[in-house]
Amino acid sequence: MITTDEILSKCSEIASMAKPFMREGKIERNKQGKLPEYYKGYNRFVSDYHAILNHSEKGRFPMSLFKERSPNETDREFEYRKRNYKQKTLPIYQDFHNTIQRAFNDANWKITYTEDNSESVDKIGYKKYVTKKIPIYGSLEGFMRNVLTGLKIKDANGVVGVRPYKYPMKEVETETGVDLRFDDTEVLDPTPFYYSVEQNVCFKDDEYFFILLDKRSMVRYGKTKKPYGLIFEVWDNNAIYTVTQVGKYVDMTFEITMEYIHNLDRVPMWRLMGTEILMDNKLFFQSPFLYAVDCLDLVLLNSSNLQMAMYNTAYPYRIMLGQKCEFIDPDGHECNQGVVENLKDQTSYKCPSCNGTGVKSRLNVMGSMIIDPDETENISVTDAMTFVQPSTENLEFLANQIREDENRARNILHIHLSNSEVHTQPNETATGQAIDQKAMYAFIAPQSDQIFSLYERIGIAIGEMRYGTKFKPFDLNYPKSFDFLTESDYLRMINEAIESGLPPFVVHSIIYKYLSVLFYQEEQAAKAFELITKADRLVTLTNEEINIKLSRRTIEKWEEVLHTSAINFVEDLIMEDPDFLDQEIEVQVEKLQAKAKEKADALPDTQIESPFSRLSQEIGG
Amino acid sequence: MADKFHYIRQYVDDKYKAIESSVSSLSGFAKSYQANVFSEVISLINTLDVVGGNLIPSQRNFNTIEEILERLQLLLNGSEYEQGVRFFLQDLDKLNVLTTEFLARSIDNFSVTDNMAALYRNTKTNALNLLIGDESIHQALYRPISEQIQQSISSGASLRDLTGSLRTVLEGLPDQQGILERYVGQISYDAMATGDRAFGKQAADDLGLNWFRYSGGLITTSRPFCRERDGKFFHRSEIEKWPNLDWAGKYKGVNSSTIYVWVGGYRCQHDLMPVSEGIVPKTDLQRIAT
Repeated sequence: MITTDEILSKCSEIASMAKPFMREGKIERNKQGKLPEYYKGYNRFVSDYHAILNHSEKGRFPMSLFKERSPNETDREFEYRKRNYKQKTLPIYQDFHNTIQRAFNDANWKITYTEDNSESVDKIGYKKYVTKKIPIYGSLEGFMRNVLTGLKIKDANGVVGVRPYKYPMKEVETETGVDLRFDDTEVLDPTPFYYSVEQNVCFKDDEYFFILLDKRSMVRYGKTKKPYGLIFEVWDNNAIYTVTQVGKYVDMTFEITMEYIHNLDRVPMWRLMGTEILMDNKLFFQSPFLYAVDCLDLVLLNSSNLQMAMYNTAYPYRIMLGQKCEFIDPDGHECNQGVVENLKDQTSYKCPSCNGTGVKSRLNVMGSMIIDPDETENISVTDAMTFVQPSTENLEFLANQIREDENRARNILHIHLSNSEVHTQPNETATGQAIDQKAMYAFIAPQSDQIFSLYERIGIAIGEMRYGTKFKPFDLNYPKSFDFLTESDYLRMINEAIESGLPPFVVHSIIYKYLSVLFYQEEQAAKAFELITKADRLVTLTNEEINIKLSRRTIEKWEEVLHTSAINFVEDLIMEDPDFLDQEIEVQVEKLQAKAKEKADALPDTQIESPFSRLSQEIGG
Repeated sequence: MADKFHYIRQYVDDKYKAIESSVSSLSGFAKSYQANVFSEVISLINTLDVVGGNLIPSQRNFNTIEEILERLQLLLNGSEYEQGVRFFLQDLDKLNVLTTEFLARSIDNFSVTDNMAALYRNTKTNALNLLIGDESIHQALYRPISEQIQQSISSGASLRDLTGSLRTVLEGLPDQQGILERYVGQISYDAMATGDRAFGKQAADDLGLNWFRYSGGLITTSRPFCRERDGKFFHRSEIEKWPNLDWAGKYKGVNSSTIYVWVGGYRCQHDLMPVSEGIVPKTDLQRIAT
């Protein structure tokens, strides 16, 4: 825990570092393009973040890439470049983002909420709060899948923290008047909040974070008050504070307000993480996307250059035979190589007819070229006009280079299009593709583990803030596979497992996954199938296998009845008791099996002795 | 020498004649049965839903496959094939008696041990299971039928084509036996031949016999491996090194234990007959001694 004096001292220190960079309340880069180095590596990690944003955020022009122009590039050409700039690398970022999001495919992970007393606090309970009631995002899963995954790719050193969406306040009468105090009788709405690496100006993991907010406080600046004062949000393992600059701008004085005491004994804020790196024995992170940024920067640069080259050279020029300008002005002065001279007055001006070229066009108003028949001895009609187009070899070279860099970036990120030219060998073998897939899994797995680790921490912090001791943590099974499997993929896998003669428990596990994919959105159906898979041990056997086992008497008749009529029995049980599927699973299984036994007992015995049994008895076997 | 060991040769000849006869008889029953199966299956597939002569992937059609399999299971009960298997088991008993009598003549103080009796019971049960056990029949006969029908329904094949395919599968072609007949031929021969050899090997183990005579005679198609060994005596230690050699027709995966059962390989008509050391020629005894 950090003391308030230490907080204030630290904020002053940070503000002193920021002061030389401040212009009218904004922190701007100096002439060397640097920001205040709040800690060693700050500028580097902010640069990394912006380097990734160039490829991930629509509408952004990467000035840092283009600020060093070609020596001969004019302002007009640069403006053209800016106006026609296209973010060619956005799809690659999107593909990478979608690949990481595979971890969230419903068949790859599982969360099991624990029965607890949280409903007694707010009448809805923890599960409903995190699945439907989180402010801004609706559900925690939605935040993790759709928001945090992207933030993590872009900003590995950014942070996410959990605090109440609003601090409930109440008026309290004091000796001096009415004060606003934190109302601890209100149920809080804990919500995840993100702050970028730029805002995270001082930190020690698991102890404290100093977040420099974008908003400013009013401070005295000269004779007036201006919104130039810095505001910090400080998180430690006991509380969250707001530290606001007050008084005169130049004095860098701060006031501290304790906004919320969470008493979690740990900071409810964590860095988004990525690939670990050490600097002076301090741990930092790099986004895995960063490794491809150099290639992608080249793609952007070369694409822009290609665009410019096409503008300059890709279009054919018309060259045609002209005719000597025969302009004569009203004073009788002739055009002489584009200049009309008045020798008397020693004046001259550009010929308005040929515009100073000395040659006039042979095109008539219809755009047809007219050649004087008397000139045809010296001028061939076919040679009178021609089109010249520079060679496109260089353009093709540039285009190839761009494609190569894109492919290289995709390879680095282990993202391939199924029909792309990414494959270095045109006829890649199944083994090669399997190796590629394993490499991709190895690349995704650490990121996925980090995301789910954050999911767990955020979820638990939310539960503890809102419900205190009445909250019991959930079970979260991290993804082990990153396939995006459809129902037909699972059916194919089930068939292959059976044909390969794999042990029944392997076949069972694939069938369970198939059912979870099939019914994940249908709660009632999912419960019914969970019950059936637990009650029916023959669930994965084919009818032929069951008939064989029946004839060998290795299964009971009621088991076969349960297997063929399970759905009907479940429906009957629900009709008898609408809350049947909400009972303990063991009770459900018992009732379902009892139903099957009752039915089986009512059936006539039609067991036929097999030839094998008969002959076995004859030989005494 | 020929007179002295003629009875061995006679025994092996009688044994393989009996095996061939029994296998041929069982194959005949299988052939007759598979023809009945074919008739039954055809009568049922003619009730399948078709459009323009082509099968359609309807639920009713897929359900009919289950019905066909149930009918075939009923058909097997009391069938001629069941009777054929019964006769085959009786032939196994007769062969066992023949072998027992031979061993009694060859080995002093011979008697059937508990291990030998248990081994023989096991051989019979295994043969029964392979020939008419539920799973074996399912794999050998029902599954190919159901797969053929299922594929035809799924692909919308014509009923005529399906009938033709099933006829080929079940009744075979002029140069190819039907599926059950082929299966039965292989299984029954191996069950008899290898089962009997295993019985002899068990006798050798139980009675502490280390010498064997490679017996069976030669025919034009005898393997070089068998030609080199026929009529000769070998010690256990020599025999158990043969799996390290390579020869045409060698049984895949044969090892030092199973060499006694598979001998020259598939359909080999030779046996390694256990003999008392007393009848082994001195030259052979000396070979091992050195």
